[in-house]
Amino acid sequence: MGRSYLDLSKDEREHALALHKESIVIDSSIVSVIEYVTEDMWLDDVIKGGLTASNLTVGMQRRFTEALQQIIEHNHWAKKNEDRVIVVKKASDIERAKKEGKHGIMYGPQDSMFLERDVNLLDVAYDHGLRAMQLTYNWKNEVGDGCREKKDSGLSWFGEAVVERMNKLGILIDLSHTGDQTCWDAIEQSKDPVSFTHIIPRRSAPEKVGGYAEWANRATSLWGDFVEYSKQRGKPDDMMQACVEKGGVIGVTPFFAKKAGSSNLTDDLMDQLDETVDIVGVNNTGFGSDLEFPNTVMRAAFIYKNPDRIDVDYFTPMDKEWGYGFMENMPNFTMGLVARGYSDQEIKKILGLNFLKLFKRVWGA
Amino acid sequence: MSRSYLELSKDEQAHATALHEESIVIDASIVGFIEHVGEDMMLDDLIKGGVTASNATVCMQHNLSEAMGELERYHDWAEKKQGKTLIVKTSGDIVKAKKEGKTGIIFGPQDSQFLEGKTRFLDIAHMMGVRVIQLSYSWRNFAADGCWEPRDGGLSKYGFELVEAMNEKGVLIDLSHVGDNSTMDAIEHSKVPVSFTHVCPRETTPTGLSKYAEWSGGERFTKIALERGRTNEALQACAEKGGIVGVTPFFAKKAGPSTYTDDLMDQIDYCVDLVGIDHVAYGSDLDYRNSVTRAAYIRRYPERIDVSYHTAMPKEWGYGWLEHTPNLTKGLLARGYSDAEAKKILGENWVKLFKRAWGR
Repeated sequence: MGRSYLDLSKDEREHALALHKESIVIDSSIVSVIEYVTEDMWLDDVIKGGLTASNLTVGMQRRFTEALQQIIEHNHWAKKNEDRVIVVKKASDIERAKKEGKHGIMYGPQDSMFLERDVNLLDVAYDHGLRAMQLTYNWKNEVGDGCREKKDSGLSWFGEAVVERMNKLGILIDLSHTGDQTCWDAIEQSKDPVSFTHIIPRRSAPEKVGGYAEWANRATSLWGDFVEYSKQRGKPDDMMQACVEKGGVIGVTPFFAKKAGSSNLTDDLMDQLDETVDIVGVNNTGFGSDLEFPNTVMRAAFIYKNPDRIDVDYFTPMDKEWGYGFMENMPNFTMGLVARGYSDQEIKKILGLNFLKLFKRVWGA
Repeated sequence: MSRSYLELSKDEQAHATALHEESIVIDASIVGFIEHVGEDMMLDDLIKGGVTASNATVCMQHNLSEAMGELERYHDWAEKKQGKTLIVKTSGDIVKAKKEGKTGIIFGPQDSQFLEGKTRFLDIAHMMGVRVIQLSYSWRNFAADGCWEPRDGGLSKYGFELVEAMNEKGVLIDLSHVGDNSTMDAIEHSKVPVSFTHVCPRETTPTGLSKYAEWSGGERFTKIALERGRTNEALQACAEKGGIVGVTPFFAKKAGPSTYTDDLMDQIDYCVDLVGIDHVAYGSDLDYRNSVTRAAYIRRYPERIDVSYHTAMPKEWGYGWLEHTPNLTKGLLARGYSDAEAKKILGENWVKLFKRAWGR
């Protein structure tokens, strides 16, 4: 049993919080909301949580114009909030965000279907700020196969062209939801390092799941059986190693962490993080919350309406310990790292420096 | 001053509650929210509020496939939630919903742009359950000019064809956000009665600023409120052809300490005077996505609501929850409407119009 983040002494706790504050903290997978009053709810939250930059899931539409509209809308929003927001286009923008106490947003769609099978449209998206892209979501698209498909036939011709163009432009390839064969093809064919922004080691998927996972199994059919989905979204050791051998980074997500029983989410996440470090080393491990803020808003509304029903007939991936989905609780993560005995320098790498280095290499600046 | 809904005696209140419970209650304009936990929040709220059926704004996309994709998600949802809801395709479905204690959902896009300028696509939309279409939102589209355009040239050639196609197919025409000239063209050209699902008369639209109006734009809010208001001429012409005016509380609130419900009643009283009791009804214009955001906001910042954030539906209506719809019935009784008259406004007028426009 690893040490719990709740067992930190007062001094250790203070040290963790100070370390968190001074570090570059990157969340490599998050879905934002910038409409109406929620724009402040989201921005206040990530800033309060000490997040320096986050990789936003945008562009999930099936049409290029609509995906681009969303990206451009974010650009205008960032401009309107320029005292607090920077659109990240190069790695130094993240360092600048840290220095100026702002939050950097980068654009990383979790699907490539908005390209409408035209590789040239990547150029347009890049011009408007696209810096990362997942080749497929859970399903088959024109590029490759997702991790929930029964069969995975690897990268298509178009997929190969997309990988090549992403390398050429300097867009980070993300393979978190992508199927195994397609992942292997992409790792092999990409000239640049690739990434898994929000996964777990397949072997660390809990066989007996608790909290949200348990509820999801009986209440929703979003992902099929949750344990099975955890494994589909988990990646095998050799694939993670192949990724980091080329310089890639693995972002560990809390989404699949919670075990059955009285364990807490942060400690369970740390178990998976420790395993990831075992597999790929401390220089190639990062963090991706996979937090969907529209759900956070809905959850808060649900709790407002039905305070007695949360954790009874409605569970969430981030439980009470994480405020039912608010990143202001991000220091929990750093406390966890301190509890698990990582040095300050190692912690800084995991919190953000590893991703920062990868971005610099892939983006060329 | 007319009587306030807050002044009902205990007996009158009990009577209002009972009347509300036994009536068919129709909200002719809401924006639905059915994702994730939202799938129950809206339904539970509508059922709690005694709403028998509501006309949901869907298909606001600019292309048919995505609009139909949204309806597909609604059908899946309705099937999953069949203990609580049904998709309304005939007026009989509303009666069925009432009988079974469910809340019915009508598909009513507030823009015709998803048809991509093709009247044939109306067949597909109808097959997927669309029963009401607003010819244009507040802006110009292929069919008409919206009410916030600087100029309104009336219906386009396609707009006239669309009116004919809707008449033939049995899709109710909604003109709530349509510009004045386009509105008159549509009323005149339509062979079937048309509707305003959620409007106030321009004549009685308040120009003093409520807290919400002040917060959301001040004078600019007044300007758009007046443009969204309908002329007496249009309201009368609609009613003369058998149509219905759904009155919305959205633009009803006056400056000062008046209540939202009583201000709504003033608009209803005016409409009843103008077009008669058989042609007046209700459409909240509530956007559930905002209700959810608001609820989250209040949970996060309880001290900031009504300070740095105001809402169209104030505290009196729970900041946007239709469980407070019984306020409407209380208001109607406070204004002296008989039970039979209240029932017409609450829903019977809509049912009659739907039956006529939809053909069954």
